[in-house]
Amino acid sequence: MNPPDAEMIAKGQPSQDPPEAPRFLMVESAKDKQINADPLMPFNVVQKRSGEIVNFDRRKIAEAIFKAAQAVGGADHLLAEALAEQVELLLHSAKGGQHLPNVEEIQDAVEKILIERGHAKTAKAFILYRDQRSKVRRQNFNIRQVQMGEVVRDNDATDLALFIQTSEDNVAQWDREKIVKALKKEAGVAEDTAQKIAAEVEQQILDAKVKRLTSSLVRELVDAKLIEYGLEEARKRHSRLGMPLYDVEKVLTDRNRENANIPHNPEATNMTLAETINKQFALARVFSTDVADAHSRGDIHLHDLGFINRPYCSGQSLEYVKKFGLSLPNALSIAKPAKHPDTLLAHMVKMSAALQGHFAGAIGWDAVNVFFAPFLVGMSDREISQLAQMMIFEYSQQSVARGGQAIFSDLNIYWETPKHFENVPAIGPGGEYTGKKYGDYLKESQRFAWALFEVYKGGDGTGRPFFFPKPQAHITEKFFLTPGHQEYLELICSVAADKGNTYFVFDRGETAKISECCRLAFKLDDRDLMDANTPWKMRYSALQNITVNLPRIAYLAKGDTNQLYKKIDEFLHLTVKGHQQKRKFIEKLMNLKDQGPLALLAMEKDGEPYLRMGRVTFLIGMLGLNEMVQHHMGQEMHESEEAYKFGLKMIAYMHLKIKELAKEYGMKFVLEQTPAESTAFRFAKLDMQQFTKDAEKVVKGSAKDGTVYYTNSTYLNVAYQMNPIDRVKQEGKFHDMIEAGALTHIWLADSHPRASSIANFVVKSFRQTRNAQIAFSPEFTTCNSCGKVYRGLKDECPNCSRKTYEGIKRIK
Amino acid sequence: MELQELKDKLTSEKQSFEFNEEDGGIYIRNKRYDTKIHASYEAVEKHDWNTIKAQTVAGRDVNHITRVTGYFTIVEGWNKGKIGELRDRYKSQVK
Repeated sequence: MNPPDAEMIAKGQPSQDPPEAPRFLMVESAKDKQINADPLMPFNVVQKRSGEIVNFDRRKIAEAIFKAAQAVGGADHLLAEALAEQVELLLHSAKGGQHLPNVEEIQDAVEKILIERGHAKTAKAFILYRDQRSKVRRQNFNIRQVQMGEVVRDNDATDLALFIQTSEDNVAQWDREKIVKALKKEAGVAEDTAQKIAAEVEQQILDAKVKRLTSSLVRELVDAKLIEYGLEEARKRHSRLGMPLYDVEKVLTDRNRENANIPHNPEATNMTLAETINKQFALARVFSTDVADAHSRGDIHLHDLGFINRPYCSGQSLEYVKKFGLSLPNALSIAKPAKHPDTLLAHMVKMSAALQGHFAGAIGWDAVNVFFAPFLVGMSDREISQLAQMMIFEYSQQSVARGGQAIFSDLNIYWETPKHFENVPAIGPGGEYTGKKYGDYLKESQRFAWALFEVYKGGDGTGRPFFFPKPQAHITEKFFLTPGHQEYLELICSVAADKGNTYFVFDRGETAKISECCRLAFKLDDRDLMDANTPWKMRYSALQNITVNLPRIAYLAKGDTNQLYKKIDEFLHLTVKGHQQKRKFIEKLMNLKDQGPLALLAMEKDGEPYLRMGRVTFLIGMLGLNEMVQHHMGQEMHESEEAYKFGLKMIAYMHLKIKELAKEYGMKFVLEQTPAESTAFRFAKLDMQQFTKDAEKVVKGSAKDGTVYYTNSTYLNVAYQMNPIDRVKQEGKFHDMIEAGALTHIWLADSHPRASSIANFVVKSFRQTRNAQIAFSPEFTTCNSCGKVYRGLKDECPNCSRKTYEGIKRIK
Repeated sequence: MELQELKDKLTSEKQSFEFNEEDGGIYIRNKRYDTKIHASYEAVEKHDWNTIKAQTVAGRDVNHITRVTGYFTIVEGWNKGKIGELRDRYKSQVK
């Protein structure tokens, strides 16, 4: 190589060889293969009808000529070879060496040579034969005999003028080999069986004269063959996942009602479509047949199958964000630890959004006001109030992951400094220790808590309650000893009365709880409390929730109490299996570390992966205890002391049983009060189908219009006219056994109690019951025409319906 | 608005509206909200489309909000089972 000619460069000429492109930019293309590149060498490859490029073989041309000659009485093979050489020269000279001759061009050349060299009869035979083959390709034809399991392949069999629409939006030419390849690779089918099946399917397609061929149709035909051959396992592995066209159309237009949180927009329909495939995948490959079938039947419910590649719910620590800033795998930008409270807020919200893309359920934050406090020193009331507003509006207005839903976010708020954080060194601006302890920031912490609840009290721009984030106010022994608690209680209760937002979490005795989801709680054990000294480590997760169909257990036991226990054991064993299988799958993904899809959960900034697999819990939920008791005892739990006690006994049994299982399997199983938004409906429907006589008697709602349901988890019948404090007391007796968390709702409908009444109620609930958590739920009507908000469920907006004009009369 | 304009408007949205002229004016039925009004010809001339339309909506374009299981949502998105439960919920008096 000569050095670049300075003169040449000066003249603007390109200097010598251009620099070699970096390796990662090089893309292999068929053109780059050395195909007929040297003009002085005879071409060495040809293109078959299938598009495949193969080595040129003059002998094939010689054979074709010889066959044609034989048809008209000739027998000179040497002559055929010589003619073939002439054909090659003709092809070569016709377009120079720089092209890729195809079959048609070669056959044209043969005809020409035969005629020019005076072999007219042979030429005629050859032309006729070529025409016949062409006709045959356009119609159906018989391929060959299948002899003793061996397929005698006719090369022309693949020369079908048949096009197939593939799943990658492409149209490709038919190639039988693709079936063979897929059967071998995906389903582990042996070569000769695969060839046989491929040949038979090809024949089927030709016989049917299919006009429009798609890869999914071919796949189904192959699957049918696999069934015929008794290759069930192969069929499972070979099957296609997806949805009927009709269903896709419905998904794109109709609203998804499985989750009341899902908006109705393209993001959401995308999620619904993806969930469908994930669900099918989960049931086919993640869970064993017995577990999958139990789910499909309705014995158990595997929650969030559409998010099979994610853990369930989580508890997070703001300390992590304070200490490490915002530095996530594959992020577009990196942020150092925040120095100012609004920056910290921005980091927290972004982190929540990123996490929501990796969890099926809630993203909860512990002690939010306590951890924010070191950033709030010296701020005015107005500034703190502004920050609180921003926090709540940021969360309630986000439409991000999981189909454009709001982030399912929980903020845990404390009036006092939780005992386990009192003496922990505080992290402040820049992620640095401030030199003080969290106990020293009580004032700022309280100011922030107050400001947050003031925002909740006002509601959104039209006065509606905020849907998210959910404020969990912790009530502890220490709370009542902390000055100012009475006014604070009054405030949070006025929020409960006016808007209903406040969740009152009762941490009695020495228990500390981080509450997520609607009621999911992580009870902190000794190991966790030690983590409190390095609070950024306090990250918790429930990997999966599997709910047991209690009424069905009762139906199967047919009134025999021993059978009841047996059935509970059986169903619990299935849930254990399911949990093991989910764990295995998540571990597989986590092991791919930063190269895998859960890179964020695998990132290790503090010596441990973000998702601490060694600490995860596995939730076992229950549904329809009330109907189970009703079937077995003949009475609902509120109808007699005996029935109620029996319900307690059932849960106590489950509680003990899963503790045994936890020891046996070394997995943290805990009972959870399943929120059961769609499961209560699903189980009821399935039982009405499969156990009609039994279900009819106990199912709630109306079978006539299909609004059937089972009573949630361990609740008492929601319709029962019960004094609310008694409901809290009686439902509360279950709560100690339901370690992953429980909740009692006090439905207010349109009633509007005073804040002081709520406050008395809350204190009573804390002191006189074992209830873990309560929330007051009012109802609201919002008018889309005028924007006004009313209490209670109204059919008409009073403001709009009252508007009258002269000459316009309302008839109906 | 002009009477013809109104009739054209109602016809173009015939999935929502039905109408007929009688009694010195026009009867309009809003199928979506199941309401019926009668507007005299003078009233039609006097008011615009938004006003007349709003009269047929009659404040029924509302959404309802309460807790579904553990969080607030809009009732119009609930599945049938939760609707059934909502109907049954007993209202508590907290005194």
